[in-house]
Amino acid sequence: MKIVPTRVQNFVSSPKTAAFVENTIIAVTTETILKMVGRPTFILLDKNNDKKKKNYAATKEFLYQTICLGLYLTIVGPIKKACGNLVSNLLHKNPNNAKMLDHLKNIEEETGKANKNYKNSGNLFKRILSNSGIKKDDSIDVARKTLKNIQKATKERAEDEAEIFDICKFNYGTKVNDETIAKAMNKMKEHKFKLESNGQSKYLTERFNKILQETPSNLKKTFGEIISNVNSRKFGKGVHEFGAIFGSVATLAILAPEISHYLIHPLMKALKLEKPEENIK
Amino acid sequence: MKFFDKFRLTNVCKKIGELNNPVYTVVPIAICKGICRPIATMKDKKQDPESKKYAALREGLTEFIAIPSYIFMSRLTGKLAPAFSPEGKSINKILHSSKTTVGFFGVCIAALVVIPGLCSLAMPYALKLFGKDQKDIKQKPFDTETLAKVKDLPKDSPYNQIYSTYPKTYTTTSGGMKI
Repeated sequence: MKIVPTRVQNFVSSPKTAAFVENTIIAVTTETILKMVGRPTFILLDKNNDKKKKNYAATKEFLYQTICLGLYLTIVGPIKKACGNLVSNLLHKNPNNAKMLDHLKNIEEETGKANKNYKNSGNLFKRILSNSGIKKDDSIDVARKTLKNIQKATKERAEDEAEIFDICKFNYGTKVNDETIAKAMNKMKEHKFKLESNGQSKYLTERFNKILQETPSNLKKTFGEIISNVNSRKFGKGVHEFGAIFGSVATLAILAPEISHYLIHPLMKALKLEKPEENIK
Repeated sequence: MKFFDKFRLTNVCKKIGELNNPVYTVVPIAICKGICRPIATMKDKKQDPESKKYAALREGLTEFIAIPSYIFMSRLTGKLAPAFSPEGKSINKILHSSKTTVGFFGVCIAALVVIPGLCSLAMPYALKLFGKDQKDIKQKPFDTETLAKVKDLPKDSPYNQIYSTYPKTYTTTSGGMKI
């Protein structure tokens, strides 16, 4: 019996949703917004205190969380970048890590180039046509489509390689030898058979089928490439997210409490929830 | 570099790259907030000492409750991942994605409901444990001049109704959940 509707299942199990949720900045922003809503609500529901005290505490908590959120979204970008660069420079001293980080840089440059070429192609072709006075024809559309396919292919290559890596379950630093290649090929063949017998052969990509048809001499190179690409991407992602975690902790735990005291008291006075000391006297 | 080798920074980055669970972010934030927020509260010169102690206790307790709540809710909701995973081309990857997303929802539920709720329930007991009850918070005595002014005011005046029982410490001893 299906408890969860299919649409919800597809949304929750989608790798894109998982990638979105694994982003540190998005996770912390969502959590802060929920705290902004939840904590003042529970303060106001507290039956042990009178109304004025509850209003004061709830407003103070709401303002504190708002200040935290604003400060976080303003500062975290540069801090994440700075921490990420610092960590990658520290890790660069180890030759294995340096290899992975440099390899990732090359992959990112390749992806960036493909994206840039496709983005700029529209304006470039327009300028060429207007300067030369040539009329637009189908060849321009074909050229744009080719650039788009290259952009799509570089993106899909990352997903494809990650999937092959997961199917074969290579471990970090595993040597690509005859034994591991044989195991990997068997797993890929099993996976292909499973998809075809379930009527899901459309999920088999061209690259996947190409690997299964490759000669044994090329397989070492192919699997070595896949492993190093996937390892580099994961390591690079880990470095960036570590920088983001460090930045989040520094902003929310160290900077925000100090800065909030200077902002909250004037705001509470402006909202007439904090009486000035003169009136009390 | 030897310090960072000992710290196993490489392994930490690899682990985070494989799976950046939201718990890895929110728990260190809660730990550091549990230390830094009470310290910042105690340094605030605009509040009186008793209410500062109450606020610091409240903040520390909230973050202390937050750490196991996040971990527990993330693991609890992670067990529901198979219900959200349709059979597809790569069941392991789908289950992995479902676990991550559903674990994040667990962290959200903890932040929205579980932590504030538990804190509200635990606060009276924590206050009793540390020997501070709201009723026991000492009220500073009136000056005779202030008392004379209060006496001159009519009985119906809001000042008389409120400030006669809660003098100077009224605005600073605020109840409910503190930051």
